[in-house]
Amino acid sequence: MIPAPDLNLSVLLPIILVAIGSMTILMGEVLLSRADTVLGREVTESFIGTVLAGTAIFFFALTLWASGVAFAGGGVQVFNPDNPMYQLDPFSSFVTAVLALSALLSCALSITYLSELRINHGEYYALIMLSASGMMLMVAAVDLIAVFLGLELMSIPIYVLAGFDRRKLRSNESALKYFLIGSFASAILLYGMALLYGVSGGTSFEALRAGFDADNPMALVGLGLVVVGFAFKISMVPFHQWTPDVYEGAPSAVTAYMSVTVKVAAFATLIRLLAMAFGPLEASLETIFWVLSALTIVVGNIMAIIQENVKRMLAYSSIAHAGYLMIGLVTGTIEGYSAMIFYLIAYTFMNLGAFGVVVALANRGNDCERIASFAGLARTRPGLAAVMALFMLSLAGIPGTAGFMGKFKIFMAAVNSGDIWLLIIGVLMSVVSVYYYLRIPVLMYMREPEDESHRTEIASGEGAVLVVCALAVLALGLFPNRVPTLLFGDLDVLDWANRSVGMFFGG
Amino acid sequence: MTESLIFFALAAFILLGAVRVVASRDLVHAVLWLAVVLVLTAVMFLMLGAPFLAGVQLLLYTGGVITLMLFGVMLTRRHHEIGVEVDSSRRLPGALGALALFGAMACAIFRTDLPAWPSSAPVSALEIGRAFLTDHLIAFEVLSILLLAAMIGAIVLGRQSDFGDEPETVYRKGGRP
Amino acid sequence: MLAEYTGVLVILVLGVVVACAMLGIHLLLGPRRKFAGKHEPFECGESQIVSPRRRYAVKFYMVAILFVVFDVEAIFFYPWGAVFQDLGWFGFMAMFIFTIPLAIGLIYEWMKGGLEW
Repeated sequence: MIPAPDLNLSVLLPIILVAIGSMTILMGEVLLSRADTVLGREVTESFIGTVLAGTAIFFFALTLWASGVAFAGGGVQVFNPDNPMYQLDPFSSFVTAVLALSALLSCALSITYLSELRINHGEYYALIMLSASGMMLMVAAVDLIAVFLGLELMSIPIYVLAGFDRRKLRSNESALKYFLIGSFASAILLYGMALLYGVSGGTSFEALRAGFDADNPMALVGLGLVVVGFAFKISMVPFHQWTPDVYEGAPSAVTAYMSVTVKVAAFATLIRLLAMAFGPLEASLETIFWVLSALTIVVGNIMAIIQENVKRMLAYSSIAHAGYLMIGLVTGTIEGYSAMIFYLIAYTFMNLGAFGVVVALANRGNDCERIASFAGLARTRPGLAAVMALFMLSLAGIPGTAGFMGKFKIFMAAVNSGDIWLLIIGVLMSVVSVYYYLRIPVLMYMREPEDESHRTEIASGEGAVLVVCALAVLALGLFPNRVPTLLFGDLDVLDWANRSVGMFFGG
Repeated sequence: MTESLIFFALAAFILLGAVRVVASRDLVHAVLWLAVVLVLTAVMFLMLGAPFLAGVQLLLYTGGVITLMLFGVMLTRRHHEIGVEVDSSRRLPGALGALALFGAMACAIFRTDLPAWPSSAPVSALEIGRAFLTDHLIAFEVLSILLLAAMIGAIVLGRQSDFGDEPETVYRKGGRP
Repeated sequence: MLAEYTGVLVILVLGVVVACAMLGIHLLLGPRRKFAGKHEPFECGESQIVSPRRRYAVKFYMVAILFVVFDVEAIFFYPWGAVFQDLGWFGFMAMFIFTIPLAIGLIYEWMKGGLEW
């Protein structure tokens, strides 16, 4: 008789909630699509979609609450003490909360957009929830097997989501490209993990840390392959070529979701890997990350200048932001990591907001993709133009916005660990980025409207998301250590970011 | 001695098959060569003391995935006339890059003192079952969610009726739809 | 290590030898006469109307994908079966939870017509 392991099920609560949510949505889709009326309301396709989106939002809100409670409680809990693969700690619960919040906002953003495309199906929300559960697993994993499973569970639904608008060839192309590149990256990652396992004889982060020293060649190769695998996911130059095509072809609501959450999850996992597993190798990684970071910042910003399509421009801008984020990885200090976490939160709100405006302008599935089509928007849609201008200013890093505060924290961390050159490159390229970000506000406020192909009214879900994002961008930019909320008192986001990464430094 | 002889023969055949997979002009031939590679890999698993994995490899990969790939080739329009483009101007740089990567990795692996592994007695299904259901329980449960995601994805992308209209361009040039 | 699989190897070799021998003997002993009819595909005496090499319906592919998914699932049942008696109720519950998402997937697929031809 094998003794049953002593399990701690409550640790898994966030993932269990999200997984149950996705299955509820699937069953709801099946039941609702067979019914004619529910509670006296006629069941139409968009009615089903809206109800199921509500379900997804409800479950994400529960997850947000559960991980928030876990974060407030602090402490480290493992699922299975015999072989901890999954660990609930301040870091994982905080990142899980961020992921749940951004997934919630993405669901609210999608409802009307999908209805207009006539693809507002329950499967969409089920796939979003499944991929979110994969991300939550990945950021809480302390074992290579769990990291890989989480990565696949995150990626597979997103491959499908990218091709969710099956009638559009570009959406199909986007899904296929992302799938091919993604599986290639997964294979490289797996190869790296196999080498690391071969050197250390174990897959847990603990075994990796104890398993090799700094000049072990095979461990270095394994580490390099793992980093390359993640580099594809966070679109680090030179592994970024898929990003603009995939972001452009996927439905805008999907792009909003994937551009934000995948980056948060992958960067959080990298932080955990570096802090917990690769300790002895950090010195050799620093140079690699330095070069990649500088390259990513430069290429992302330069390429963004010449784009004529908003989604492509935002894709290159997201590459550039990945470069800024990597500065935190180069420093490897608690300051750098907590700056990364803060930056990721700021990036979540401003990028979701920017894509949210693109989603809100899409008219019957015709995305307003040309940058030129923003001309005169301040005249026709003043509210949307105002928030779009705010998000662009924030992405450019103008003081008073969340983007500035994030960049400031990251650059400060670079200075304090002596990376002056990285700081110079970052600041110079931020100046360059002002050019392409400000093109949109200039067009919106200083040109005459040229065509009227935009949607003329905003849906309540989109409006709510944009308001939340805009308020968050302003609040995080003006007083990041005491964000005022009516319900919960002032929130100290900077302190949260510090506390979440503090556990890696014995805090 | 015989063991390393078998290993090198096996490795040579796997390598040969893998090269044929990427160099075949006919997609069906490529898939069949892939089947050869996968079967020989199963033998490799046997040699490494993992009979369960060898069985999985045969059942899943040669049984399932190869069938899937053949279906995929047959779904594609007029595959037998197209001939895959295998001559690329980047062939030489590609080969050099692959060689360099191989050299670097081989060098790294040979220069590393690998830890002494315990003797590799064949791992039975019993031990795998125990590992799945105790130490790696969470991975095991997550796997079913992963399979669910794959299933939904297949249905969403593959289903014909009841899910939107036809693609905006239907491939009808030559051959029947 | 591989000694216990010698039988498999013998059967493999025998299979290859027999197949080659049949073809070889035919080549050596069989009479050879050439005429046009031999080059036509055998189709019950009728000449063919359409090319057999046309595109297959996507349905085949759907069935094949779903087959692979359930194939993977079945493989995970096997090690559980091996330790079923040792793990008792704990193993049973673990496996039960494992099947829930797959059961839901199956219901979804069935109800949505994924299994209809």
